[in-house]
Amino acid sequence: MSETRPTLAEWVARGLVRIASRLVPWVQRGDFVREWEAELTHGFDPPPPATPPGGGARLRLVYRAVFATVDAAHLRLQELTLESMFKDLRFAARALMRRPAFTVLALLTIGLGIGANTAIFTVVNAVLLRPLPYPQPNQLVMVWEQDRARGWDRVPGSAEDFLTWRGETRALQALSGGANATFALTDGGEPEQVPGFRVTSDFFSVFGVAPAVGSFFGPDANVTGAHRRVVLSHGLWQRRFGGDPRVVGRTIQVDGEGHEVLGVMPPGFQFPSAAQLWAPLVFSDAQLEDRNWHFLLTVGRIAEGTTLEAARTELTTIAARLSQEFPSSNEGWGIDVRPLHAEMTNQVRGMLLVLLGAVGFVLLIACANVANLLLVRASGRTRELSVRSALGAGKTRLVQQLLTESVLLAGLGGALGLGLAWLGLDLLLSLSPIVVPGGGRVHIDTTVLAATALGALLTGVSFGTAPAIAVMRTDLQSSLKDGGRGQAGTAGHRLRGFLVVAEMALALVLVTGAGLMIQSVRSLLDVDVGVDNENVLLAQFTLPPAAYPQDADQVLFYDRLVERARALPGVRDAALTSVAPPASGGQFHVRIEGVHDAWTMDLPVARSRSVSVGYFEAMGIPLLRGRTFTADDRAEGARVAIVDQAFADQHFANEDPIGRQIRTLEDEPREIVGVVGNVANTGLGSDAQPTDYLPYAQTTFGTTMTLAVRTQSEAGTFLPAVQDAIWSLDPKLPLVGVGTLQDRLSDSVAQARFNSTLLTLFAVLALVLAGVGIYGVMAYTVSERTRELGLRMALGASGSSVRGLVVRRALTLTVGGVLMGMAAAFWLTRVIASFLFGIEPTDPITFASVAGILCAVALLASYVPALRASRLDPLAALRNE
Amino acid sequence: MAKPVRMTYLTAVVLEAVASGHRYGFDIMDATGIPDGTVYPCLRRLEKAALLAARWEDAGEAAAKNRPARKYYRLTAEGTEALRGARARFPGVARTFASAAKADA
Repeated sequence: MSETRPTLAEWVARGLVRIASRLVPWVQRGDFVREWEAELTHGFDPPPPATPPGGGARLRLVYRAVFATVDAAHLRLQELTLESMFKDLRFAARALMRRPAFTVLALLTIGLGIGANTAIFTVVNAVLLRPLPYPQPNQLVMVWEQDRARGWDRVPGSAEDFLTWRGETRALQALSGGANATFALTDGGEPEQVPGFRVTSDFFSVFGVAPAVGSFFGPDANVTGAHRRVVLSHGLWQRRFGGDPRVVGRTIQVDGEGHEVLGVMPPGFQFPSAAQLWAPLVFSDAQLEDRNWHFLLTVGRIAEGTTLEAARTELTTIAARLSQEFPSSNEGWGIDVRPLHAEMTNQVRGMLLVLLGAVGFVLLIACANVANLLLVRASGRTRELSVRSALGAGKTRLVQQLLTESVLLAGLGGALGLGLAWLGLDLLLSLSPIVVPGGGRVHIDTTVLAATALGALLTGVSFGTAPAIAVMRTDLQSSLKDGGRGQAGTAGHRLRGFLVVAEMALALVLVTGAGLMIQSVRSLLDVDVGVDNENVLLAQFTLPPAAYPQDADQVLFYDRLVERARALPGVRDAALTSVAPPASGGQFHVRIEGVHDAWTMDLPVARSRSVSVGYFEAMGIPLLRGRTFTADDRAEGARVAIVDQAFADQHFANEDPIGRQIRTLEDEPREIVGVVGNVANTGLGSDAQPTDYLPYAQTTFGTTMTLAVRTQSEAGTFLPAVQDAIWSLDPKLPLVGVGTLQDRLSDSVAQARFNSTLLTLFAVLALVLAGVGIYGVMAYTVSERTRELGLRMALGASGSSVRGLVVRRALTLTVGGVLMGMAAAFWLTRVIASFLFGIEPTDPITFASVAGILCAVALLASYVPALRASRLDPLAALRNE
Repeated sequence: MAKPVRMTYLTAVVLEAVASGHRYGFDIMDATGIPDGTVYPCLRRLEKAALLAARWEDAGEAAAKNRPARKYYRLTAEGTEALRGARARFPGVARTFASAAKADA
């Protein structure tokens, strides 16, 4: 041994070896310490006088000494035989069965905690973790145009830009473009409108899928003449064609024209998620001429051996060249390449992670609760443990036994949780259909099972550690002498207090989050939509252009439809609009005469709607100035427009808009004849964007219209009559989005409501668990202090003062938890800020009420033990020796 | 009692290190550069499998060097046999140590 004083490093290293040696079975312990201490002199040779080793060498020594614990754990594990583990397990099972109340409570707590986590993790796994079901899914990317200066991040490509990229890229082995479309299916059965996707022919090779039946379009499909071909989704094929393979080659009526069915997609293929029909995309001349016309969703596959970064760099270079070549359209436009999977999930990722965090909190609370229960039980078992210790069981052996019990408990709880998750998942999915990118179901798979097993194991070890530590610290010999009572001591006491404070803090964070979400949903629903939404039925349809080729044909149909709908018994009013609230519709440039004199990219934009005469009256949109449309605003009459308040504010802040002229889509001046109130047109909860209304007699936007019918009573009951009215004019017209306006508004906040429902569920769970936790601790404290409380009462303390004593202790813990929780919530609610509407993430009223709720729960939970304490019979309490 | 040990790259390296005269844990760590946490469990396994045997350094010898006695590992006959097999499987390992081999003190 060195004569010189040990350095700090040596001292620390030797300490580490000593600590690690506690784990080593005692027969081997001496050798272990000797061997490791000798190791610590490594590098201090040659013999004296030793060159004092440098700081780096000393640190290395300390670092290596840490691995003595690995060695020690290894030796300890070798000691464990299967037989002794089995014995421990059997003993643990018997111990649990002896205390059924405890076991049931603990199992329920763990089961709920693990169940909630498993359910949410199952969704996270299906949506965020599972790779897309295509070959080499990591090569799939989406290509977006972007105009950073205007804050436009993800803009679809224009046809010409797309063709340039596809012609020049080397980093992408394939690139396809597509545009959303709806198709009317009319032969056989009820007419139906299905969402679909018009695609370039390489769409299928990009995804690398093979048809379930038939074939896909060849490269010749994207030209006029060869384009009347369709591919069906597996679901549509099953549903509408009975899964008959002979449908391939048949001609079916799509949008009133014959289309050949080429093939059927493999089951589960989903891109875009709602599409049921794919047809070739044929670029129109107008699309090919206009690089400003952004409509193509572009999906590509990165070439073998190339990276996402390389693809991004290459396409950015191409975009930079295009913006020089075509400054009028492409100036300032860049490009971005993003992984397809992330793009398909970015809507839900944030909230799913928040929910995962929330259930994580619930599990932590459950752990703290069970740890508390175990602590209480361990101190009740001091006598048993002392006896076993006196009979020769080492402390490590006892700790091992306790940990076995915990892990067994966690294992059983995990199994229960898995069952609960399995049941809960169905409920979850019925509340909100969760879209899995690329198709597929949300189900419990091996990943989930493995994660649950690991979670249960960690849970068991973490809540088992607290009582194990308590046992390690207890002097078992002396506790045998004093009858095995009250030996958990102050350490156990403090640990229990800390666990309750932590539970309260975690619960507070969750309840605050849920409170904020609930209020957000409520304020979303309270938003003034700008229309009278009582008793309005909506039905959307699209006239097939083949059957109604001229504007005049469409207008005639619309006029007759409105007339017929108005004549229905019980109907107060009816009208048509190209876009019904709360949908947004397209944005178009507008020119204000006298302000803007040419079409440029910098012109302001507005949402445009083509509506029937009487639309504002039927929807209850208030007229603020001027007039609404009349039957005189015909195609041949003077061109007119009505704008909303947001439009007037933006362009005519201090002037009267009436009489001013604007130009929109069709580039003809039209006079503003009226100003109406704003209507929520970009979803509830966002500001109304400037909107102009045009009479459909003068301008139609495509052939999709929504019939709005205001009824005298419950609008839903008018559905069959309204359907009949439409079909009496055209029996082949498919209807979509049929329902009441109120349902549609409430559906638009369905996601927010789903999120807040789940968060509330978890918060309530957390609150109940925290309440049980504080009850457990207070009940135990009372039983532990029976003698002391009895003595106090014998000396004249009143029942109420004893009650106060117990409640005060509970409140002290609660206030600690509330303060900690508030600090955490103040910081954590920021995470959900982007999901909130109409409320600040640090809303003081919410914070204050949640603190109040927690205190109330604590009061309630401590009142029963307090009552029991105050009813103690002093004599009995003192005799209870 | 000998229990068969799975011949992995790690085991081969440790056997080779011991064969070429690195006789205790930290020396083996230095010589092999394999992660510090894995050397000891590996030594224990090899000892249990009787491929390595350990003896304590002579107390007087250690005292002369002013340090506690070290536990030295050496190859057993089975260990030498196993090393031959390991060399056939991981020929690179022997070459690594051929240059670093030093005389057994």
